[in-house]
Amino acid sequence: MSRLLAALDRHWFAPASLRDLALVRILAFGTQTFFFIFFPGGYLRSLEVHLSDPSLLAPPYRPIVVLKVLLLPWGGWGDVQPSVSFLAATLGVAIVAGVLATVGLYARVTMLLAAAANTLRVAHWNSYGDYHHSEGLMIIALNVLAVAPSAAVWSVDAARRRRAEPGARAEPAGGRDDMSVFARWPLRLMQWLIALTYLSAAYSKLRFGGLEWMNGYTMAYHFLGAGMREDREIAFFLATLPPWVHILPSVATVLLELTFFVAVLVPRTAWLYVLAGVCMHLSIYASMGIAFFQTILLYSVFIESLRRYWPRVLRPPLPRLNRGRVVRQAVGRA
Amino acid sequence: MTSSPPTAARREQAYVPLTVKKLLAVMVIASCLGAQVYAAAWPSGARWWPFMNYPMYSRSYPPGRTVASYQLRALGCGAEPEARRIGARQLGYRDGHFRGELSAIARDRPKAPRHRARLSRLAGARLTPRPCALQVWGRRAALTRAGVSAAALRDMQWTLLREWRVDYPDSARVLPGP
Repeated sequence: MSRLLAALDRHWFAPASLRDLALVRILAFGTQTFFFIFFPGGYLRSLEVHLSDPSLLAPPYRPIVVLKVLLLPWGGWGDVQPSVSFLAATLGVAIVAGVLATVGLYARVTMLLAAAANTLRVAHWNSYGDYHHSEGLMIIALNVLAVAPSAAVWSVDAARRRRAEPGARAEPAGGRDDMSVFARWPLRLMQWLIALTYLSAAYSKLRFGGLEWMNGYTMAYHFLGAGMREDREIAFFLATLPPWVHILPSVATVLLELTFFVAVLVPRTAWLYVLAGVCMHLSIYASMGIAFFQTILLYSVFIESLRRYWPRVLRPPLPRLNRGRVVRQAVGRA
Repeated sequence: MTSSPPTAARREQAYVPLTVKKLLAVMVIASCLGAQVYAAAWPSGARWWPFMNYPMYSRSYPPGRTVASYQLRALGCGAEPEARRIGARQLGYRDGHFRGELSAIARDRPKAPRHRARLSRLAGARLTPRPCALQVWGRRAALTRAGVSAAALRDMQWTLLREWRVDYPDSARVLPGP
């Protein structure tokens, strides 16, 4: 039993680089904020247009649990429907707090605020009977990052602390100074959540579709559907290919989803799964217009495995990009 | 003996005992993993969002199935009314809901009258100039044993399926399907 606990402790709390965590913070909050600034009316689910006149709501307002919880300070359980001005205010908070969280200024508070504002807005979007999956993992990631030491390095807060300390250095700490027992669990948690979502997708395919899901016709049918819905030429073209052409990609999709957890347990394989996952999501986007960019971005939680085991032949030829230091994992020292 | 400057890692350990922080982290980990497993094993839509199951595109389809798509068009008023295509967002709809309602109207599902009434109300209030009639158009393609025929896709035509006056949603005309 004690060996199991020790193994679990190593799995979740072995010292890891705070820089990896900081990198994921910058990517996650930075991207969400970028989308809020440049696509406030669409990409991140703005609903102001629906709220201009409540009598003109197409689908009725049915708040989901998370939204009910977040709106409790403003009224009873499920009684509050956000107004246009309230949503505009949350957009402002998401942008301002998101920028500050990205650069790591007053990060403890701003990360929490940005995570809450993002959660509220997307939860509100999902409270009209129709919901989307693409933001789910990212919203969990923002909240997890907000309660982790994600801004301990590579942040304005860290720079200000360094300057305020006696004998301060201008340069950020390096080597073992940026290792922490609390730098691993947030990334590990997101790795497992990504694996579980893929497992859920594979389980659904095998349960509802069975092995016939890989018969080639199913994929042709989905391409045809995407082409019909949105007049996508590439989807129409793929639908017209002989069904047997789709068998291999179908099998590869199910295998990838079914075994993605191996990337967590065997870090040496992570690069292969990440590469395959990126290819899968990009090809789905190119062919059917279904975007899971947030999931691609969240593959950055495998940064430690990618840095250690990314094959040399796949490294970019630019010498500057290959200069990164390899941080060896110190195991069993908490 | 010299003391090195405090680091981020040491500083964070100074405030809260290590075991308490670990315990809090373990609670977050267990809650998130438990919620995700629960949501995947006992699906309930977006109820427990952001923890969800992922069943999209999970059904399988044998040859012989057909795919239909629909469009809403608004017909202007006057002697020679012009028809224009209306998108979901123009009426404040989500794409999924919109497609579902058009499909129900085209197939005369029990909810079709309610959908026609809502579309009429939204079109009357949101579209400028206000249309006099709404139409549902459809097209259909088949998945055969040989796959999808490129020639069939080229020849695919939009066909008028249903038409009704905005002020009288129950006035739906049933037109022959494609």
